[in-house]
Amino acid sequence: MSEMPHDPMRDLVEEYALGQLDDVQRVAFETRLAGDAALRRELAATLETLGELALSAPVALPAALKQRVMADVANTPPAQSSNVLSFAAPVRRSRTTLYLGAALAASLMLVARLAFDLRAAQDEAATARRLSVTAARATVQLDSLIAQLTDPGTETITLAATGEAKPIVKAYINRVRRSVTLSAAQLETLPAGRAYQLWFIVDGKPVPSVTFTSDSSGHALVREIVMPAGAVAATAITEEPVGGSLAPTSKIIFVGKLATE
Amino acid sequence: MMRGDQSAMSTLYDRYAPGVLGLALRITREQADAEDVVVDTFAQVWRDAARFELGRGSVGAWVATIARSRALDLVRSRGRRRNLDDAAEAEASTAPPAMGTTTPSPIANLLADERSRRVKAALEALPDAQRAALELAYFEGLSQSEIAERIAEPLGTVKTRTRLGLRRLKELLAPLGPGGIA
Repeated sequence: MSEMPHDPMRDLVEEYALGQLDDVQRVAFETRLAGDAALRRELAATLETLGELALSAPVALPAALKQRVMADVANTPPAQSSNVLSFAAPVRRSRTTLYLGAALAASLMLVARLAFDLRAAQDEAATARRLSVTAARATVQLDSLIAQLTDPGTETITLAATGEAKPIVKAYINRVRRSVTLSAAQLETLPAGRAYQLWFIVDGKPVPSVTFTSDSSGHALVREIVMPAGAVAATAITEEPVGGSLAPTSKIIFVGKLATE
Repeated sequence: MMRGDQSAMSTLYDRYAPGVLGLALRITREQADAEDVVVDTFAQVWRDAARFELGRGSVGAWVATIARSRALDLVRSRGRRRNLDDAAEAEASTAPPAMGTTTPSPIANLLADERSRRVKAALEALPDAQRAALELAYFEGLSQSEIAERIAEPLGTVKTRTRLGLRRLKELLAPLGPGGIA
């Protein structure tokens, strides 16, 4: 009998219930949750366990407390909405992950948009098939990205701007896989023919890596960048020609040090 | 309750308020703050009752989720996050469970005592490292990174401990049955 493939989302149930996912992970998890009954059952069971833990040390109540509660209730009209309540744990939002959340949210919106388009095109079988394939690919890519970012071996560094630039750039580094995912927000749009280039600093020397540009909203997401051999001490970003350079030709715009390997 | 019945609210309070106050005391460490959390929690329960969907979990789990959120919000807003030693001290100070005069019946008291005993036994059955990680996450609301920094362990180790600890706790408490705190 073959084993079920590992589902990284299952590993996020406990962190979600504890309110510990960052925005990127939370959006991805809730997206999956909406269409996965088994995951919802697992989450509900986990929340029950936490509820048991929470309420397991009852204490005597001051008599006046109930009067306060009931007086408060008497002065508050109950909600009339029939909307379904969110049952999620409290969320800790990290400002530094918001930009990646926005990038990922954009991906999720793409999936949702494609799904909507798919429904609207039911009479156009060919269009529907094309959109279905595209949506499925987007979902697979999303799952893959989440798997990378939630891998316990992945560490995160923020590349600090060296000048007055406002953008935030983060690198998700997995030394075991020798892989980096780079995400940025609020990047300045570069002139035609120019691009950002990533550098790995190895033995004090810059090793050239990928070039990239931002989209119209200033976001950039570059996945599965291969780390060079050797002990990488830092990453840096410069502005270079679109084709990239073998050595930096401009000053460093962003730099981030890695923990010692 | 879902139709705005204040007598139902009174019953709900009698059932869950002792546990909510115990949780709030553990998190806030202040009696006055903890009582504020109880008031805020039941106010939110009252406001949102019409939107609660039973199929997504028990009432008790929902109330607990709200109470924890309110208590952590209060602590964060006042900057009174405490360390692990303090949390252990608080745990000792909140025992033994005491049934207030508003608890509905002796049988309910007995059941609550039994549940508390089993939860405590399940927690004690966890490896120390898993229990510590879980308690820091749940009762102090620390992020995984904050826990890793607090206990000087790698982030991956903390994630694994928290996940395994909570999964094990779920297994140990499963005999309590579904809707155990409903």
